[in-house]
Amino acid sequence: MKHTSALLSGCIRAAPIVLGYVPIGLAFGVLARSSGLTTGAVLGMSLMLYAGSAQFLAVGMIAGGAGFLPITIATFFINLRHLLMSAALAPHLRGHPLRKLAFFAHELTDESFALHSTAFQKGLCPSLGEMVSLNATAQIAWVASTVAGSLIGGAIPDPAALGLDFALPAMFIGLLSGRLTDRRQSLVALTAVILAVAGCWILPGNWLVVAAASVAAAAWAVKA
Amino acid sequence: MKGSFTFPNLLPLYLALFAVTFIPRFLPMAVLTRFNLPGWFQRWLANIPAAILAALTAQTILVHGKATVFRPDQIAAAVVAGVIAWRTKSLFLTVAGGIVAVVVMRAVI
Repeated sequence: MKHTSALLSGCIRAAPIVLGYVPIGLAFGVLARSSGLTTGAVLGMSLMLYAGSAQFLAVGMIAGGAGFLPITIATFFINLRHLLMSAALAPHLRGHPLRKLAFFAHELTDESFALHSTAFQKGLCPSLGEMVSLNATAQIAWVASTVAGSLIGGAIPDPAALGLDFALPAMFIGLLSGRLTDRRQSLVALTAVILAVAGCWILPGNWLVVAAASVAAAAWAVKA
Repeated sequence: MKGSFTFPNLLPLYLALFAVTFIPRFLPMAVLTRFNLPGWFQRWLANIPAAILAALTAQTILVHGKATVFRPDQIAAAVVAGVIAWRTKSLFLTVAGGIVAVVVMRAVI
């Protein structure tokens, strides 16, 4: 009984994440489809990666003709922030078996981290079952909306005529704007733009993104 | 990446991407003990998402192959999307506004 109510409570607490994921998931599905990914490829990616910005990044790079290694390294870089989130939650997750933690960790996103860390901050101690149920609800919403978006995308004959080729850059601009929280982040972004444009004749394809981003991030990693 | 993007074709890439997505999520948690990254590394990490998104945005709009490219429709639409993102903080409105802007610019230019 207690177990069932914990699972239910996890589902309910996921509601704000679900509301946020559905439009982005639909947009991702349409985009991925117009970039040449089949619905099966979208489903597989949402199940295996389950990471919004990393999935947009990967589709952008796949569509841009980037190679295996640049795509993998860029994805690793964009996911590095999860190291800090995972480390921050660790003290609250002591005593659970690793296989359960692995399941929990796979569904750790910016949004689920925000909810879990706020709960811990308030002194609440949700059970692992409740937290996993929250995560799973969010992932189901993501998978379903990306697949739905892909099916909708398949019904659109000429995506460029509708301006859909610009959806991916616009999405990057939106994601980037959310990261520009202070002056330092804006300087990092500006440096990365300059390096990416200035370096394009030296570095092939998407090594450019990885190199420009690492150098720009390092340039502003000095103490405040 | 060449060829058609079906799940079987992409599976090797997906396995690599799964690994690089799962490891940062799981490793610190698995270690569970106090996990102290050096300060400079934390600051570098904190800058990475903005840096990578900015580099990627610039490359998508301003670079083609190994040269810069001037696409007035995309640049104008990017400015519109940037302003919408800054004022509304809404991902949905940013994408919708950017798409409308690019269609309008193509009709005008």
